[in-house]
Amino acid sequence: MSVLRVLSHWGDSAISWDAERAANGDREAEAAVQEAERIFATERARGATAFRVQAGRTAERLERFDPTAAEIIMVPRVAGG
Amino acid sequence: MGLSLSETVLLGLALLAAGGLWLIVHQPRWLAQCFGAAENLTAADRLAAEDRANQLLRQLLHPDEYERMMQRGYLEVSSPTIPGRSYRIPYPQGLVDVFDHGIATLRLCVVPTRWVPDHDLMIMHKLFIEGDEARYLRVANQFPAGTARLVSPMARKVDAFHQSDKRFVDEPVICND
Repeated sequence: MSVLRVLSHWGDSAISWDAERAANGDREAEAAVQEAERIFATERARGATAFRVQAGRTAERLERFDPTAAEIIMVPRVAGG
Repeated sequence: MGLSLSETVLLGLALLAAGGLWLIVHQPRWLAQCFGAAENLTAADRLAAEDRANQLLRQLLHPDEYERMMQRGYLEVSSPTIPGRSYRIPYPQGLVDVFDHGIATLRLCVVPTRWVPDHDLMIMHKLFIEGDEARYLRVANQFPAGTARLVSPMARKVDAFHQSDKRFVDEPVICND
């Protein structure tokens, strides 16, 4: 299962999907992927930055939504304080 | 006995005014969200958010790394692009210390523009350092090593929110030292 997490004042909100089932044409999984992609685009438009996270590896910045990523974390816009 | 047109208009205006007054007095959460206004968190909301953020941080870190962070009071992240550089992200928040070959060289302040729980702040620093260090350094306000950040009136204002039962989540976090 893949998951997209958006950091917010609630901790984080998450949406998950099964990339394999989506690739095999499962409608429910495809709908979950589309919803995750929509959230990704909305948050990017608000200035958030997305990172691909994998256990044992350093985070990698994502410019585009990747449905095959195991975990994506979106961080709100940052500024110098 | 039917109402005349002017009476109907007046009644409609009165109802609109009453509705507007009710919205101003009660400020329902859904309406504030629609207009992107600041939302208040209760103490219980905040505790739940911190708990959730802590769970995510635990999940992202190796158990040894999490334990070390709790013992030392900071999370150490190595620079992926600058040899010999490491960042110490203070737990739960504050200025990030930069070490080059073991010598403190800089202090950085990077904050999200919307309030997030303290543990999410640590996740934010770690992800940015690992995934987009150049931008992280570009965005950061940089201070010489060893300096303390003076507390500004704005920081005092935010501290007051921190101590109160409710917080304005759109208040940016200040790098208190």
